[in-house]
Amino acid sequence: MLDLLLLSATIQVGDPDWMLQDLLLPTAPVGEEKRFDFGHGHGDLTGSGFASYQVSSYRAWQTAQPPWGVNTTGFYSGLGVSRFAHLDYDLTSTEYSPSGNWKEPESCFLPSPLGLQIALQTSIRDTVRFFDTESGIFLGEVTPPPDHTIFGPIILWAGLFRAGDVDLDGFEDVFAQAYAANGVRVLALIDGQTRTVPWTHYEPFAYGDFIPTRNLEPVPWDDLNGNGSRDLVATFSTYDPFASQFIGFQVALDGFDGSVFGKINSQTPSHMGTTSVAGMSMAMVSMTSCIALGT
Amino acid sequence: MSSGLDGSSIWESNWRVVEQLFPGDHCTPDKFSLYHHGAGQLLLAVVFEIDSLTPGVRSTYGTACFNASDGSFIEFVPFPEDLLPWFPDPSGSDWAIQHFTPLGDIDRDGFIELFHNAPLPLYDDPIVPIVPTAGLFYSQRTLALPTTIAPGSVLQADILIPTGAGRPCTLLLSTEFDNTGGLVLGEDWRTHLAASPLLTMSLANRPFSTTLDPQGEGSIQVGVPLNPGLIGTTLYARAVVQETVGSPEIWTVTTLAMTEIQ
Repeated sequence: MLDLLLLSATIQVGDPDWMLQDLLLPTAPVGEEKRFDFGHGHGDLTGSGFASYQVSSYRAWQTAQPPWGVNTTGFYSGLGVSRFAHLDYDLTSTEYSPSGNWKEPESCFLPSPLGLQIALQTSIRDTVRFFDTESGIFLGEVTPPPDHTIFGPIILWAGLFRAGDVDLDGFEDVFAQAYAANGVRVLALIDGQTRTVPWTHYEPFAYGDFIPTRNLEPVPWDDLNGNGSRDLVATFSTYDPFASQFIGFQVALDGFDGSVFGKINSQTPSHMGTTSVAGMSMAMVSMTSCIALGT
Repeated sequence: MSSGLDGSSIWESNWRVVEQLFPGDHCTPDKFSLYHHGAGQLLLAVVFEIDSLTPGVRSTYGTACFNASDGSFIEFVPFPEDLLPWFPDPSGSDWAIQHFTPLGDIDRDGFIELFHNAPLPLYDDPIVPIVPTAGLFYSQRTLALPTTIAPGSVLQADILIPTGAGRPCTLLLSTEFDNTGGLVLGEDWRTHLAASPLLTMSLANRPFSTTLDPQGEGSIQVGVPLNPGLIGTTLYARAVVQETVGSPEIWTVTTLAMTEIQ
């Protein structure tokens, strides 16, 4: 019994044991963060040795009906070291209404000669906006490309991914998912310096009908075709009405101009929500093999 | 686990091993991440939600730890089910309203941190349908104290900071806790240690100090006075790791540890 008591009173450091290290408190009913929502790690973006991270939150600015507040996101480099800008990026009175469609903001950080920028897309604004992370200053928003000849203009931006500096102008660029007018998903490159869209890409339905592609999960890779810019492998899946199943396939796009230089049909139906890491890895292997073989 | 070199499979592990630990419950894998453990061992930690099928029993969360080199299951490590000593308990029947997300090593101690949020019964306004939530940072234990200590005995604090080899380390102690931040060191290192004579003593001339060994480990002993009047007192502690000897810069701060004098 004595041994048991001693053991129960002893805690070993180094056990994989989770501890509450710190917390951000909802500080006040009005004008301060009322809730903290999402945290995301972004790696060491400052070279400080500390991982940089982002926490999204909501400030209540008005407690009377209708509730009115602002979405904010805070940038940090390290726990308790240097805090970056605190962006107030969405003003809304409907965000938390029962029918609200608020979702986690999409964002990616973009090192540039002018400092660390962030490309940000939220459910409130159907655009991609750029901010300076140190000052919080709004830099501008993406200029939509000309109307797509088939699907019309891009009306909604979705996932954002660091593309590296594909045009070698010193500014990192963004691979983005977007929706065209009738719900068709397209891939796009956003120029990190000009905030324009040099190219878009979509995959028509493989069976002769324009059914929106689904489950498009772009993943930036290094330079696969050796032309000096980071490339992109995207998994599409689409419904095969003849086989009554979803068919997945992967497309390799040149980051610089969006041209297709590899395409494989994995014959592996993707599930509805996402593409698995393992599936993407295998797709990558296959894609690399195709490229190596010149197919 | 797939090889980054050629995509070949290195190992596969069946997550049903977790379900076997919680028969009758629904176990759902969530986020996963890799982190170092102890002397360089690399673990794959997969966050699981353990959803009880019993009405009224709320979900719990934890990480299933696998050996990253061969996929063998090591153990299931639950997350704390409360927010002590910050708050006694989160409100609501299911406090885990968002996912645990890995942030990376945000405090430079060699371990990753996770973010999570929890509803808190603060400033709640029935007019505004917004549940106040706190943002929580979880880290792996880097400072260990016994849960209880007797007057007249020696309190041993064990420290593990894998990135702190050779760096000076000081133990700070207080009998008071401040959930809003407490003593702030350096730029913004919040210790949550509130002012007390013990904290003043542990800061002055830093009597409880050591140098971490090549593995980043160290121990500090503190004598607890033989004073029965101390029984019932809770000691709160953090260890502060300096950049180098004599430098005012802080390398990192350990997790909070507590011990009760009994």
